[in-house]
Amino acid sequence: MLDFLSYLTQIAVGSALMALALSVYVDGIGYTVFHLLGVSGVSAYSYALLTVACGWSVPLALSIGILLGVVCGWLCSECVRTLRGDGLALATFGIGVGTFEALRFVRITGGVFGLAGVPQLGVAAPVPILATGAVVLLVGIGATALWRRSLGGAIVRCVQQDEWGALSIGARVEGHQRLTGAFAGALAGASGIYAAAATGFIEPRDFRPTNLLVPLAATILACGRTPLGVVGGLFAIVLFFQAVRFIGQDPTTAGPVSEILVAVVVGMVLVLIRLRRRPKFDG
Amino acid sequence: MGAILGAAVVSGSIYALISLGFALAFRISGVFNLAHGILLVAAGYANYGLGTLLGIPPWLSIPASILLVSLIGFAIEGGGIPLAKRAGLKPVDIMVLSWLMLVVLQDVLIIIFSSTSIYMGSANVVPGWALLGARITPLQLFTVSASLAAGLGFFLMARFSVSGREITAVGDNPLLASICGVNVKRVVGLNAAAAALLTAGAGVLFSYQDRLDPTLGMRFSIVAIVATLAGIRLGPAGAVLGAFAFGLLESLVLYLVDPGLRDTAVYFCLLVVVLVTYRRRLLPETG
Repeated sequence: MLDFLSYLTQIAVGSALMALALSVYVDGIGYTVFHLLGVSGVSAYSYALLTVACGWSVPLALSIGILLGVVCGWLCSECVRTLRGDGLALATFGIGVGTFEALRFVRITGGVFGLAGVPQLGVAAPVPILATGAVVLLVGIGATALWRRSLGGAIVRCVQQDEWGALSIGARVEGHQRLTGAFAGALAGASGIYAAAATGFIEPRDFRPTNLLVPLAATILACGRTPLGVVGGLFAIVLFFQAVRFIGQDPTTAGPVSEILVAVVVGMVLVLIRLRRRPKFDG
Repeated sequence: MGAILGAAVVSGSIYALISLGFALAFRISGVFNLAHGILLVAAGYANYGLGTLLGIPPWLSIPASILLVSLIGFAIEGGGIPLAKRAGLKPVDIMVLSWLMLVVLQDVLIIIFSSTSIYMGSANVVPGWALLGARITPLQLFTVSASLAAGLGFFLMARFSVSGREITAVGDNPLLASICGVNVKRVVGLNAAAAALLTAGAGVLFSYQDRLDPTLGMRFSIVAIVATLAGIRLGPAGAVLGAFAFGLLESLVLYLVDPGLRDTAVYFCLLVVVLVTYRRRLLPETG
């Protein structure tokens, strides 16, 4: 049981942090973005390179990795700040997948073969995977909950409700866009670093666009509820994937079948949410 | 330089065929349908399944696979997207739904064909003719001619035919077009059918030129979006010019920079064209 929980933590905590990063954007400011996988890739590779190739200590490399996530998140939000809706989603998709392709190509990242020997996040003694995962997850949930309760988070939700209205009461939309970008970047960076450290290995395939399916599904299924709701939804989806794998007995088809079922359910939930939130009259 | 131009013409013509169906559908729906690329891939696989696995001769398997995938494309563009728009879904929601559809279709292909990549062309490569320092095969020449003819045809149709003007009118303002006596439902249906047939036909043609695998759908969609947005001012015909410009850029990256950066260039192009196309969009608009 403990082994299964450790395995679950190993595969789910990184995705949970990514789902929290997405929820900061989607549920917070109301924009759909896809660049966060690229941001997590930059942080994860910087952590791996600093520890494996340069021999830096884990805390220092971790700090630099998360700082890079903040900077990349802020830079991305800066360059797409004039976009909204489908234009914003597409442009951020270009950034995210462009970064993924660049990671595959650049020689220093080990190309498609990746990098092995990425150190665990346990600082001195080898801390069990379960405990490390739980601590990282609690820090992520706590930070997101604090963000939602802060003044910045409240203003961001005002922007989501009515951007013109938020502007008219003096909210600095672009400033909050940058702030959201930086915070989501930090969470995405932490997600990439955790995933690399938990498995001890990193490769560009970890940052494929389809890897966003589960975090995006958890964000949509949570319907704007608390960070705990997002993480709970994500663990439910990961458990569902594992259940299909166990029941199906065939790992080559279990993955695609689970993805199909999750995509269909998420699509239906997205439509239902949008239809429910439709204005009753058009004035 | 000649080789770069030759490669640009050949790859640009393939991209033009990939993009035309998308550009035609986008002119009316205004929605970035990310499932477009997987329909191309599905058409190639349908032809492979019918022809190679079931042993049906090409004269029957090619039209059958085009018809089969066209029906799916028509159901999406002519039925699903207009219904979603009428229900009040935002373009970004429809885009996310189309991405989910891409994931579903991609996984269905992976399950049916076990992730096998396919190539329908002959193993014996025809030497072809010299063009601008590159070699061009008869099939490539056919693709170049077909894409140029289709681009010119769509340009003339949009400018001088009644149907072309009706498509433009419905794309610009469907309500006003219906007030002016245009049968909007008929135009949307015909446009969706033409787009679906073009997309499926391009997919089958592509499978005879290059290798296809189920994960290529997203790349095709992005190529179509980049080409369409690059030539957006000229409508569907502009997508052909956009595709050739994109083919040139890709050839420059391939020959002068590094072949490994080809896909990176594709996705950063997407960022640039979206930033340039939407820089004057009225803000704010959340969602």
